[in-house]
Amino acid sequence: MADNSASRITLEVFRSEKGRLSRFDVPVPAPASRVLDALLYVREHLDPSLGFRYSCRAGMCGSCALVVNGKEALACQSAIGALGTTTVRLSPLRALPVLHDLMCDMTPFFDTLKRADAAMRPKEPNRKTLRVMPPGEPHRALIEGQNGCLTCGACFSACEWSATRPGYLGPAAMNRVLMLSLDERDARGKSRLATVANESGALRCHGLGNCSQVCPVDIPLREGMQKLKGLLAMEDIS
Amino acid sequence: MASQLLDLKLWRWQRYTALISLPLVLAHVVLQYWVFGIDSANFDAVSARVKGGIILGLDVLLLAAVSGHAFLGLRSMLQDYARSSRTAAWITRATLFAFAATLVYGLAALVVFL
Repeated sequence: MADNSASRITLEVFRSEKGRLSRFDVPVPAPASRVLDALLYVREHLDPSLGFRYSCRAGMCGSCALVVNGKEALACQSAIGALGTTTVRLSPLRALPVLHDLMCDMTPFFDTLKRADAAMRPKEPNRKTLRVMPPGEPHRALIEGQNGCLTCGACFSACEWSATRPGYLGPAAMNRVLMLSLDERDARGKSRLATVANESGALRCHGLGNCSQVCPVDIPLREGMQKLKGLLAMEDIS
Repeated sequence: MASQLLDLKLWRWQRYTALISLPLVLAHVVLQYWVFGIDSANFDAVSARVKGGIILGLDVLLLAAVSGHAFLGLRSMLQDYARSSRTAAWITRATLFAFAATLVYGLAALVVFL
């Protein structure tokens, strides 16, 4: 679609109650119009029963993650002009139970974070704030690449194992474990590696890299998994 | 927990055998093609080489490393399709048994040359 100014698209949306796609003719004011804009248009003008999530509209909360033309993305960050097609097909994230249309039950995804204990356990629990790591500090460089996860679930959806292997932790949880195991402010440190040193964790990852392809904040998840495997190969895990 | 530690150990051995196999395979190719020559691969020539000790040692290491890596890799691939930990455990047993059988068969073949 070379010029999308004041054009129209066909929005195909998976509908959970109907069990099929609904098609909507949606105007696109500009190439930079987002998929979220199209969804909001549908809900306001065509079908108020259409279910989808959004919050910040700025690519920071991760609420609007879904599958756009077969690839996981944030609806608020997906420019319709960049999709290169006049038919945009939307479906809910994979590997998660569908609540309504494009809304999934995120509980299984958040459970992976709980099972991986993907929360900071500060070395100084009585301190009110974490020690700031200024730019350029070597410790910061160790973990910076893994920082910034929105917990949107896009990588979990894209991973081949999330839907086919019950109990698989998934890229987001393991990325968090990697980051925390390298963070010198965390009390658990490398002992965290034991939570992913199994067939539900890093040992099952084949490094396909779907996770890296879909991460909306470009966290190098596949490289992170390689780093994690390197730590598992070298560290004493008991 | 014990099975998890075993999984980690076997996964690590898959990496170690890959590292060990590489120089051994290269050495094997160099020895076979350039040092001894493939045309001299008759029973007496091979027997004389194997009795030398160093070649026997290299061959045993090569057999163990390459077979180990192959069967550990096969185990990993098959476990992609295991839907329960019981199935996964049987896959581990079967592939380790196949590795052991291959090792014994290979060692028996080498013994013939001694």
